[in-house]
Amino acid sequence: MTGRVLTATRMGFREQLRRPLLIVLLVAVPFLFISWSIAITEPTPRMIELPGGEPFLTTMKELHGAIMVPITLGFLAGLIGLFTIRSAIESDRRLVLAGFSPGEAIAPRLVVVLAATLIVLAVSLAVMAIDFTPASWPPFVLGNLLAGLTYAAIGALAGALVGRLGGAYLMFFLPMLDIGVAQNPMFFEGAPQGWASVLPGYGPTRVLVDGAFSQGFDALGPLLVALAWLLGLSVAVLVLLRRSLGGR
Amino acid sequence: MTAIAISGAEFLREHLRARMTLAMLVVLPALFVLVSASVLGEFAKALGGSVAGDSASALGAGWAAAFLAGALGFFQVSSSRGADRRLALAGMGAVRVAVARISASVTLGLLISLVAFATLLLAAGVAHPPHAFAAILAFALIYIGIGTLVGSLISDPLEGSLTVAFIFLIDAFSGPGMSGGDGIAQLMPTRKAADVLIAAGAGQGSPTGDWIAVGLAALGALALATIAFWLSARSRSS
Repeated sequence: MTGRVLTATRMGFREQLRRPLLIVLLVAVPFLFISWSIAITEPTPRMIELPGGEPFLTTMKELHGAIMVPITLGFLAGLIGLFTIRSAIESDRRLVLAGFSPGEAIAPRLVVVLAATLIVLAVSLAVMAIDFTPASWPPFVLGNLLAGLTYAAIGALAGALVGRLGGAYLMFFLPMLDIGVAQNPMFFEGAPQGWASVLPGYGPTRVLVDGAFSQGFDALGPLLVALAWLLGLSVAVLVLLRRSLGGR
Repeated sequence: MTAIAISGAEFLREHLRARMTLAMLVVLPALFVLVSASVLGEFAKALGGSVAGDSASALGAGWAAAFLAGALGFFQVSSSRGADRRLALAGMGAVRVAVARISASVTLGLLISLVAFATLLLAAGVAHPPHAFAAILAFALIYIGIGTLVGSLISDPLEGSLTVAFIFLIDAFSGPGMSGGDGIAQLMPTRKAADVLIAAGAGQGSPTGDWIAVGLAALGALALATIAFWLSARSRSS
């Protein structure tokens, strides 16, 4: 990383830190959303199907605790991706005119989005861990991280393609509909079917459901699907940003 | 009056000029109502709530209208502050700018409510359509007020969007049929609108007191929104 990229990254973080309300909200929204969801859910029994195909008896309370983490992450990371990249499109052209390459202008923004996603992930996991402990942490964390990064990329794309307002409308609803409803085992028997399996939340959610309730790892297929989504979206974001900033 | 009507129409056109934004305004509430219609009853049951079936579907339409209207109200203020101030200084005056803005916002709120209501009607059916539509519109108007108020206090889009979402989540989670019962849950902005909507979904009317409370909440929110628009259009020196 060159000196000027480091400087731009530092400035990117300073820009975020100048907004103390943002930091408060990035902690308060996951705290409220996840802890309240767990607290108000009844511990009624619920049979689900794990990615390996085996049935597993859990409770609605545990299921809700586990699934609220990616919903929260998808929602917050999507909005962070949206507004950070909108800001980049609106102001980083000047950096490119001043001699930065598009890549050097983009990198600091992506580092900021990644850092903010990691902060929300850490807060969300910490809040969830008060009431629910996953059977296996590594796949649970990985699935959630993939959900957050995927929605950060979708938010960034939405910002570039449908504008700030259209993007905000989209990011208010998409994570809820995808992870909150279509992938949520609280609402269906077995694995997600039909249209749900082609949505971006499918892979990450199956990976984290496996981690939440199984000691082993049987979600290799969904993991590959999740990685393919993330790779495809990341490439699309980079191409769009390079074009927006005047690169070829 | 003509200036207000022309400006209101321009504000509306400004908002709907981006086709994707218009598409989102129509598609998203419809999609949310369609998808949530089948699961909200089960969700409420998981939370120990009592709302089920058509009432739960109806509540989803109210939520969709509220969430979109909140974002709409916020961006109406936050993205137009500079332009409105110039317009007011150019001779239109802050009051007329504010009335034109609130007219455009209410029209958009009506559009969102109509889409949510029509989807609900087609997807799940509504036993008491006029009551259901009035309650959905009340959800939208109340959140136009909340979004506008947030927009007048916070200019950053990320902070503002998250604040609107934060308020919405507290409101929705503590609402009737979900976890909400007594105490502070009774003071939530859409509490009575939700009561009316749930009753309409179940084919029942609502007491006059509930209607008065819904009307007062919606009018209060619109009054707040008008004040917020006026404050943001007012010259700093005046």
